[in-house]
Amino acid sequence: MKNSLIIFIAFLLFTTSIHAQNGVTEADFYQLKTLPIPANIELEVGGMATIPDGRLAVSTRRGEVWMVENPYSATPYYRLFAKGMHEVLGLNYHKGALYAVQRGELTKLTDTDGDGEADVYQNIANWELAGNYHEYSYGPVFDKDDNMFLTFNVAWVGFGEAKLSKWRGWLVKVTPDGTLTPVAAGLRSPACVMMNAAGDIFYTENQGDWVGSGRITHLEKGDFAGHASSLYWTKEPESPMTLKKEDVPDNSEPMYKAAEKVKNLKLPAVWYPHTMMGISTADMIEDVEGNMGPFFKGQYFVSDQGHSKVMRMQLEKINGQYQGACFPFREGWQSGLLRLSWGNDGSMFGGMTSRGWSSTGKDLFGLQRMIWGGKTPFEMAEIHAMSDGFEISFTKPVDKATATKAENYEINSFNYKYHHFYGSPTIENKAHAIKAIIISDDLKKVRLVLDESRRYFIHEIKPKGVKSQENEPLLHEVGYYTLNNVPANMTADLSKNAMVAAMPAINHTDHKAMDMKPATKDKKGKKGAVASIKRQLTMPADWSAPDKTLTIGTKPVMKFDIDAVEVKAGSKVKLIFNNLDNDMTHNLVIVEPGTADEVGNQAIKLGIKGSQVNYVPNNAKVLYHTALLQPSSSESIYFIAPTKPGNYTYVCTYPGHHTIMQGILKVTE
Amino acid sequence: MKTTYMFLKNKRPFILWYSLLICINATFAQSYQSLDALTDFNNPSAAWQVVGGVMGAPSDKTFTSKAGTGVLLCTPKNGLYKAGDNLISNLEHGDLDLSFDVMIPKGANSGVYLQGRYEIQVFDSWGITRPTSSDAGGIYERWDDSKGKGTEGYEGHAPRVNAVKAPGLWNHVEVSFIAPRFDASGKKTANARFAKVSWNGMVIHQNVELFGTTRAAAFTDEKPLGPLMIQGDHGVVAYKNIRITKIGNSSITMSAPVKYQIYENAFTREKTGDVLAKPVAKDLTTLKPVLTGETSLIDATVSRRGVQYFVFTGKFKVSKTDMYDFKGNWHGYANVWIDDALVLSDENTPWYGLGFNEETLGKKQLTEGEHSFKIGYTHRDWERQMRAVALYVKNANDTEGWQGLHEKKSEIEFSKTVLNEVEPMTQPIFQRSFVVFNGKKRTHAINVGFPQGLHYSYDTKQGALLHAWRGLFLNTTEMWHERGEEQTAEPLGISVQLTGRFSLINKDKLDSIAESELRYEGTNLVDIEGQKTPQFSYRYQNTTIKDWVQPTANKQGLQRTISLSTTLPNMNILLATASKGIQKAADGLYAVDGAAYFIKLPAGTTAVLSKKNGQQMLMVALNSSVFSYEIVF
Repeated sequence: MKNSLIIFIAFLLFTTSIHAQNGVTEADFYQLKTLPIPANIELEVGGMATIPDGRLAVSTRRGEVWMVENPYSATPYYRLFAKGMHEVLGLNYHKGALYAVQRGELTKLTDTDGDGEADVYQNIANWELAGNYHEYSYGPVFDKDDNMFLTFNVAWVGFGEAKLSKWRGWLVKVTPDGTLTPVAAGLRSPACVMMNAAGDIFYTENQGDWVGSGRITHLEKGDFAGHASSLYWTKEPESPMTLKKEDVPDNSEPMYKAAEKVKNLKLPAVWYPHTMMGISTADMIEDVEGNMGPFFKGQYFVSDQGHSKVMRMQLEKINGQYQGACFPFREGWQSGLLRLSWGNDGSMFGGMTSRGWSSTGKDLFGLQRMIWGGKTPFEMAEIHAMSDGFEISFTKPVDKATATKAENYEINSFNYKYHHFYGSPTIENKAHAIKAIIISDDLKKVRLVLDESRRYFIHEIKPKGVKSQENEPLLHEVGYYTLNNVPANMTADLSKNAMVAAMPAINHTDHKAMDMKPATKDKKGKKGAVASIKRQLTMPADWSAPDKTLTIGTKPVMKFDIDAVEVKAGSKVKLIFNNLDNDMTHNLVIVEPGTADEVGNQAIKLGIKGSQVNYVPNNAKVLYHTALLQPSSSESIYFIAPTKPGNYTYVCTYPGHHTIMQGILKVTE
Repeated sequence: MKTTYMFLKNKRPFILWYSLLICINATFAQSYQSLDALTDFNNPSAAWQVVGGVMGAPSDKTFTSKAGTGVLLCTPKNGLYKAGDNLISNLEHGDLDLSFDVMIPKGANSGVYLQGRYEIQVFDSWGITRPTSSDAGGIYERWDDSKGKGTEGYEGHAPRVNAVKAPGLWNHVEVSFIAPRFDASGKKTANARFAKVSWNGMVIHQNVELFGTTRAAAFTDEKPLGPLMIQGDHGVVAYKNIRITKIGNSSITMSAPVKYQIYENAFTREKTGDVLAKPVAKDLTTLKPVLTGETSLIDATVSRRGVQYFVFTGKFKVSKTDMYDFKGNWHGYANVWIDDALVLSDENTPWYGLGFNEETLGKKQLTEGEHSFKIGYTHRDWERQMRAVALYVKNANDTEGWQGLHEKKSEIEFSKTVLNEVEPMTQPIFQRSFVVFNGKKRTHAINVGFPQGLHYSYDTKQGALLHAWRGLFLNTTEMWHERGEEQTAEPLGISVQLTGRFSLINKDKLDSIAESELRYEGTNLVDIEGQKTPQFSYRYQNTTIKDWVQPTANKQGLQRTISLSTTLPNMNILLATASKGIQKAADGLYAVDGAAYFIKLPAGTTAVLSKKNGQQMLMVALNSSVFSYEIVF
């Protein structure tokens, strides 16, 4: 028992933060400290606010507000400040008081008798609810006039429905006297509303119906962010717009096409490609001070609940509109990372919960703190749009030899469908050719001149082979830039520049789906074996019947429904894989013993190409696999069991799943 | 082979997962046999009389009664402990589902003996916090004098909680009893069992096996059949609504194996390619089933993969020509045809509402003999990967009970175990949640619990008391288990339903202040006798209203206080509403809604009784700026 525990912990450490090939990991630059939580506290974090006096206020899904005293140490003290509220998913500290957003009420909490516990729960504003669980409410953020902004989820009735109660799917404003007015519509699951230093409001959005992928959108009065259900309420006199649901194109064309017709439709500032970045965009904070290093000063950090990680976002304004790029930053948090908050010392608090929504971090809840250790990672610091491509600035000077080779870069662009369906595949994918590479004199900027400028497209920018002058690989080799606007007059003058290296176009899309081609060889060399391919969908003609039929299903908690199955070495196996999940896609990949993490990590790195290959990487350790199955669907594959006995693993390699979704295929003599 | 399932009469309405729409089980005329006349009993003594109603205050050791029928009142005439004062039914029973209402005066003692042998104790246990087997709801001890003094009693079963109400209030009790079984030689092969006993809605026993008769039984042996006995030799007690809802076993039998055909890809969408559009069944004659087979009873667990459409066909026999009730309970979407006539249908269910536990009811006249059934079923689940179909049939006009035509494993099974329980320890506690009141979710509700074991729920938007209860505090499983899709919290004790509307009503129209005119300002925790007690604050025009509730000093109920910053001479305070009447039980004491609870007024207060929309209203004129009253139960 003890041994297996140690192995398990070792496994966790091993699987966390594997990135650069030279062994440098995120943890070398950004360290996570876990705050101990007393055993009797279920700290399912819903909201967080840093108090100037050094305390951290944490609200929970069970309706409490805990004051964590001394949170910058191994001995924090938890004091219950308020309790009994209804799922507090938003907490803020403003002018000496805490404000909590419950499901149906914005509440100011005050301790009037000085005993450290709130005794006044003042109703600032309340609003209608239909009683649907998905009617979550978030906020508040304050503007300079003490107005408060909140975001409201739509209900879930098999799709996102706003009409069950008023202003669902809206950004609303509450004046200090409690008057609630609608500001912007089109929200689906807006887990975070924030205001940046410039006073602009942003919200984070989760993939779902009308939302092809996670995204962050800048909202102004009268904006419509895309989820059409909320337009039901534009019939009200307080509505700042008259747009109707019927006016919104629902034809699966990209969102920008709809925006050409619908003037209120606001395109996201940054898309977070589903599974390539995260799966459930949650919180967002701005690093005004450069807490995570001066090279990231002014950027934003965005958490992902399902992937238990922090991503980084850099914004710029082109033609007066926000747009920019997102990058991986730090994964391996302990639970579903719902909330981020700056500590007074510049560290970053992460507040977590995964109840009801499984996350990569396996704990049910948690509180951690991230500290920048002072070292500079080799990263793309920023990506800027140019008239004819992009300029990447790096945190360190680049190695000129690797940076001038076109094969060290991959640039792909793609888009998402805009429609009432749940999510979207990537569409209109294109691999870009690089026409020229220009390196700045200080070697920190690389200008990429591309074959084509695709306005409105998401650009996957991958300088994967570029090294720093110290020969370091990038800590993260990808960024996704949302090119809503192309700046004018930013065209490179190729004739005058000495550092031009013209490059041939390369085609990155020739990576074929693996299920299309048989494996090159039957490695087993077993006499009389059928030609082995990795995804055989019909029973081979020379079988009369399978020796064994296995049925493996999935459970909604991101698990297979069977932990282990057994087959005889070399036997004929039919495997029926039932994806019984209701809203997640899964595959089943059988891999060589002990290689599930290697294959799983490789699948994550497939990026945009993942969806074309069922998230199955081209790796000899992959023996057999199914397709990526939609919810409530099934596939049967036929294969010959390995001839060598042992404990093989079946694993789901859909990004974010492989660490917990595994089982053992025991092959016996 | 024959399987009988209990009809869960008090099944809690299951709240749909998806929206505000709350479905209450359709009210369904349930056939039962009443034991409400003295002629139903064998040679009743003069202690028993039939009256039209009884009344008493919690301090009264006897009742006042009025002439009429419906209530069996016991008043021993010749002193106590005369066995002849026990009431023994003419009816003899084996397996039995029974319900009754009982009113227990102060200090009283009675009991209900199944088969005259196995006693559920009836006792004035009001106020007892740790009940034993000799308290109300206990399964009384067995008795053996030879065991020696002090140890004669054994194998008693205390109720899980003390669920009894105050003397003078009616208690509702439900018992499901399984008789002992014997072989041909008369040897006992299975013990008697209380399958379920609930008291005022609280389950107090489940599957308790009895190894022999309990103390003071009418018989010392055990038999397949016996009469029902109601103890009358220990003092005053009143019973009403003694109803036998199921006796014996159904005579309906399956007469052929069940055939099943399972289809895949049996649906198209109303709008092609649109996963959110309503699914439309294809013509099955064009499809080939992917799986067929036979089972002895309906079993939806025979296959579990992808999205499937199941067709079950089979035959059953009824022994007489009569009207029959059908009841379906499935996880998903189904239609049931009996002899090719559609009897149970989900045709009008919104498709996105599928996947919940709701009973579907129907009726059909059947002739004696064999009949066919056909079920078309798809699980179409969203949250749970369950395949479940249960089909029940019963004669509409007798008490044989429901006969299930399905395997037990084909029934819906949801865990209803309390996973998250909130308890006040030394201070009051509160928890906001959705609260179901009269079948609708109140979305801005708060539950308040006191260490004294008395609790209430309240709608902050409307300033309305919803429920008061005694016992444990709160079950938050539906909020804190997984996503908490219901977001409802439930009382963990015997509860009474209160008005659900604001207590300030205008004198002329008897309407509550409109929600739009009443602004909820917030909740303050105020120190009342060392307890930080929630006090709700409202603004109505220029008046600030404070509203708070605390346990009464004697812990017999809750005291509510309303205070106003200005007087409102045009207003009454509404204390109670009732469809089943409000009666004065003593000075300043009113029994509300068929004696479900008491309202106690402060001395010298004059109550106003009125009626609007078929509801009786108990009010007082608002003459002062502070008013308190008690809710006693």
